[in-house]
Amino acid sequence: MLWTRNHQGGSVAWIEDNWGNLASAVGLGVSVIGFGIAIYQIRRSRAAAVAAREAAQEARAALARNLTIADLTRVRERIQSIKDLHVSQQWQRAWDRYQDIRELLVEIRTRHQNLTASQRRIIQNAIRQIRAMEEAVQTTLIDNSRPDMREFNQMLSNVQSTLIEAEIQLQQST
Amino acid sequence: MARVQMLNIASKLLERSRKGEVAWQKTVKDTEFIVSFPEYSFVIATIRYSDSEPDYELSLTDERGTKIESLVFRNSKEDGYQALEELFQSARRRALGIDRRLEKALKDLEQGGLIG
Repeated sequence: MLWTRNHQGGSVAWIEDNWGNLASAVGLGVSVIGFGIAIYQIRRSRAAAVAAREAAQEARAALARNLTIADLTRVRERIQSIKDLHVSQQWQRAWDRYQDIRELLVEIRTRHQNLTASQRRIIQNAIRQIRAMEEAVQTTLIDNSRPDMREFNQMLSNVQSTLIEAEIQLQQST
Repeated sequence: MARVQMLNIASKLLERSRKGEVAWQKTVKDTEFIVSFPEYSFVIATIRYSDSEPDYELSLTDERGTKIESLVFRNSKEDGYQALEELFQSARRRALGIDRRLEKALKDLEQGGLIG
């Protein structure tokens, strides 16, 4: 009992004597913990910022892909309308539309930087195929002859198939 | 300068075509075949005027499909005429799948049994 009282008295005295040091030690501990928490929060917010940036980039890429696919689909639909003009032997009207399709394809290739070399080659090939068609129809219009509608439409079907191929590649590149 | 470059290109295209490494394609014109790259195309074409020997033309087109440079041979005595002629025939065979079909036909004929 006496020991306890003496001991307690000694402890209190020690605390009173070293109060400043104790407060410093506790303060240091609190500072270290606070610093750790701050580092953790900074890292977490940085990771969140990176994740947010990546999500935004992915969203932009997805939007660009969808716009490219929509444009390619639009070209395919226009090619379909040209095939209808071929069937009804409206060669002059078809000839008027070839250039629009080519311009649209050029625009797609210029506007959509997300296209791969393979997809750009598909577009280039389509442009040259349609240009050859334009030249051939021009000759027949001058000669007053009639082009082979089935051959022209087969070629346009091939072009449509390759554009679908490019669309599928884009869809799968997610 | 451009002619020298086109001659070099013709030589390289012929070399790669001989190895079957150029995917030539037909167009709606019977007399021309194309191969496309991402920003341009090459066109190999022939023009025949009545009884005279045919001309051969290798062209480079821009990204809009418009011819911007070409190499033409009109006389078989010219250096390079034979190369363009061979390039045209090679492109034609590849684009129309002639070699592939001939090989298939030979295999079919070598097999026994009823034909047709």
